[in-house]
Amino acid sequence: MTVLTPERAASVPAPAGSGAPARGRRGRGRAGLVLVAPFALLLTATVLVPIGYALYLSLFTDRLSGLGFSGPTQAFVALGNYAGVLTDSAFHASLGNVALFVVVHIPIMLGLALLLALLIDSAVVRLRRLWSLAVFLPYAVPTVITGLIWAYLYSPGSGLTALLPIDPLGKTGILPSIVNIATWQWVGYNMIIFYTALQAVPRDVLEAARADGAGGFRTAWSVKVPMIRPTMFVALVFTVIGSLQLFTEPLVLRGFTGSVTSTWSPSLYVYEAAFIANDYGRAAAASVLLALVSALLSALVMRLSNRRSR
Amino acid sequence: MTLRESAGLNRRKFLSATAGLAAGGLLGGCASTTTASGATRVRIWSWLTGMDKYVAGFNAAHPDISVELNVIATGLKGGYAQQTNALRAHNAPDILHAEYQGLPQLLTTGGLRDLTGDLADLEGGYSPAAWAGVRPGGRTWAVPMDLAPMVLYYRKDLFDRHGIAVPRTWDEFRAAAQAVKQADPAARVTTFPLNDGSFFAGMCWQAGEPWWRVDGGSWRVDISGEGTLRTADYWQGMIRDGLVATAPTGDQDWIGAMHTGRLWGLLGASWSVGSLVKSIPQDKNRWAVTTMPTWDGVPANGVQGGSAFAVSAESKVPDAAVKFLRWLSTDPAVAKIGTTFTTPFPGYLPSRDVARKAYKGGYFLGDPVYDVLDEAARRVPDWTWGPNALRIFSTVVDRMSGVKTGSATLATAVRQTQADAVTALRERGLTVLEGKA
Amino acid sequence: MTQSPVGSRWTSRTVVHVLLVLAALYAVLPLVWLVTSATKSVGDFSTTGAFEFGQFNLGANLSALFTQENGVFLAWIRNSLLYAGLGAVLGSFICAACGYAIAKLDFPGRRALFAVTLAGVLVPTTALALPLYLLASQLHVVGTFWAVFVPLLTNPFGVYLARVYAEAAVPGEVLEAARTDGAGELRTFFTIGLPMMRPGLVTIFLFQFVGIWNNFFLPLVMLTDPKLFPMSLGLYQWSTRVTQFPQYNPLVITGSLLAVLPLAAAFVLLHRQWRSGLAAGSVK
Repeated sequence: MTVLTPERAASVPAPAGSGAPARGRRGRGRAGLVLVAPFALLLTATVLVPIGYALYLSLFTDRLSGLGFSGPTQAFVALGNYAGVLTDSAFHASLGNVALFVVVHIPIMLGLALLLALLIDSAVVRLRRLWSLAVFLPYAVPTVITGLIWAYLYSPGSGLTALLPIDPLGKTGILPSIVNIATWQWVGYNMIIFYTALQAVPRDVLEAARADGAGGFRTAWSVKVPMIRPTMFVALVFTVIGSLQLFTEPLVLRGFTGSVTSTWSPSLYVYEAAFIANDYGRAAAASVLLALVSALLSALVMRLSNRRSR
Repeated sequence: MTLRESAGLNRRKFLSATAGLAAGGLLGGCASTTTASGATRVRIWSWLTGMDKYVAGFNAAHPDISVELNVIATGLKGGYAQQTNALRAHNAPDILHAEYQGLPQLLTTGGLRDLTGDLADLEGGYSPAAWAGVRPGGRTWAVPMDLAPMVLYYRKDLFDRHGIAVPRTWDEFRAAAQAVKQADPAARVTTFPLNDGSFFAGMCWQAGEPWWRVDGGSWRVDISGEGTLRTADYWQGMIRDGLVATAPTGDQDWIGAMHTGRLWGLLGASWSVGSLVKSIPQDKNRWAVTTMPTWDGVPANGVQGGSAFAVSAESKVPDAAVKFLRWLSTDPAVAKIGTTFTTPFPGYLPSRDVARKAYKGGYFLGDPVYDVLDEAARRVPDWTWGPNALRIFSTVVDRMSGVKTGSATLATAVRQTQADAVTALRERGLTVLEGKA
Repeated sequence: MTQSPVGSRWTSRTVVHVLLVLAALYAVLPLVWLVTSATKSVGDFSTTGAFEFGQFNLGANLSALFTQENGVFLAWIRNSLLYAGLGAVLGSFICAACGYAIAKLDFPGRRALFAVTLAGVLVPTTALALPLYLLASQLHVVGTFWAVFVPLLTNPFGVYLARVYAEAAVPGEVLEAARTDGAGELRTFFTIGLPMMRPGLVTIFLFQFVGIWNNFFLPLVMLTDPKLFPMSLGLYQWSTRVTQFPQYNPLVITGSLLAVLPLAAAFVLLHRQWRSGLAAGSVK
């Protein structure tokens, strides 16, 4: 979503004001607080407090007794819910599914986005606007609708299934099917990000490469790609975060096939725990774990990008 | 403001937003129990098709009570989740929708009102299966609305043309399946959906060994009982031998197959009448209904669905709510309204007569639909739904997902489901007994 | 100076265009399917191929769509526009104010706020939905417009973007000049800072719009009254009924087509603006 590098942003100098009068500085301080107040309030209320509440919820569980008809009583179980989630084979399966998804989807989608961006940026292209708009169009389709369209296309009888070697809704076919849906949805968006970054490559560097005898392909691979590497890493981080939250596509497909279980992805696991099994403690624990994994992976990718960019 | 000016669309949005906000504000959190005109406000959540018409009918006839309907997602697709969450969060509506299989799960929130006293006088008027469905554990927790006994629909024209007798037992059914496949290699006698837990439970219900029982003050779970395993083995054989399709009922594949005459039968319930009439209207005068094939001639069949309505324990208007529910369940006007857009099969016997008389028919051949459904309703064996029934539907479907490719059998799925069910209930702190008593 | 030989230039042009055509087809064909399917009736939909036409039934499908359940589909359109349109307008303004302040003004807790904001970008929204639901229940706002609208206003990434744009597009000298002229800080923001950030704001607005338009989990969890559903949730709910009621299929398809058109149109129309916004950001 951003075409700037985190390093570049951090290198901008801090706001000036060393010679300003103290009253002016206080006025700036006050104005600053006023301007950030709405967002700060929203962040606290809709992100920080819920995270805290999730942590709190994850420490408790419900207990029924007899036939269960007199309702649940709350019991403090400390890390019991976390242990339950971490030993739950359904949770392992969901992590496995999403890990497989990430490993397959991200290289394909980002690779394709990069390739298309380079193609559109190449010197020989005509009708640039047409291609970029066409490929970008899927981004404008709401995720649920995308899921529905592809679910119908994957259903037997649509004609598409006859062309494919495996049943897209079968056990082995379901992961590639979901990878395809996610790729279709996001490739255009990332392509535009990369393309815009490519526009920022200084023309004189490209001229120099041309003068040295590099053809289109060589210029693309050896000159352009390295120059947009920071953008690629940022796209990677956001794609990873988004991929870990995979929910809508499997949920929609669940209505069309039995290959997607009720706990197929970690987000589905949380949804099932919270709203079908009504085990709020377990759902909260799974949410916290999901957030932790997200944070760890993002930190990992960002550390990787810092090292590579040096 | 510069920001609003920069995208011309925004001005229009802003104006409509003001109107929308007014509407949104009105819908926000109003909890009063009387309407502007002084009528008692009763809030109901339901996904029942046509509930809006029933509510309108009631409101017209009872000016002192104003029932407000909120249409929610179908139970298993979110409706139960929404209601359970609302009950736990103490902002549930006055009336909740619970199919018989979902009622015990709602009960575990502790949020439903005991209606034993309010409904005691209605006891004799319902099909026993419907009445039993609202009395898990011996108290009455909901008002029955309809019942969905399972029956066999079949292409009478094709069966007659090819000399296939109507199967009365499962052995005969297998023979019929083979005959169908022989007559037309692309056709099958029916589909056995592997994605529908309530269907599978309904088929196992017929064997007469309930998956759950109340034993003393605890639950007894017997999903892998003899009867269920026999059912599982039978259908495993049918699937393995390619005698039935496995397409989910109602999905694209199924509709296509029905349209092109590749499915000669349907193991359905009373509401399948509507599905057939609406999805294949051109098959008029081709289908007939009969009772489900039996195990060795013992007349029995399960139930797949049927709605009931419960009252929230925290409702501030329980008397008005009960009044509405009694009307919904027993008033002949409801059956009359129902017949205008569906083929209702009320749990209340006098209402069922009204529906039967109003049924115009004209689609099915053979025995009259209501006669068959009545007989089916009489044949329903005893059964109790456990507090994790809905979850078990998901579980058994998950466990059955390998059946199509051969990596699992229905029997293994059933045994795993038994283990899952027992574990799930024990995890919630309940004492669970296993197997037959 | 060397020039690539004409021959290889021709092949590379062909190769490039073939690949682009394939990519464009991949992107567009499912949408073409959506259009053709929206013209079919229930029966035709299941029996005719993906790109054939059956009987032209679009008119009937559209009228069925808008009359179903007393025109609830229109309410869904209105709701989507409110959540996403009004939400993105308000949200991007809030982000702009915050980003500008972090970039250009010094106030206590500036660094802490920015650090927390960055962390907020990393939190998965699905992890927040359950606690938000429970909190909303306690405040008795579950099932209201606000339960969905307010959380979706929060856009930490937008603040990050706004900070970057503010630093890039609003020079310190201009602000200094305004200060020496005696203008208050807030006044400076509205009259000078905000206009200078405009292309960036359009970008933030558009991405927040799409983000809210796409958001499904939160409305799914918070809302029970169909009159408050955004389009995607409403269509999803209908799609869950198609097994029992196949007549919902044409409604879901036709509704999906209508759900795609406005966003696609918005992007095509505002193409220039958000491209320039992205470009401005990338140059600086």
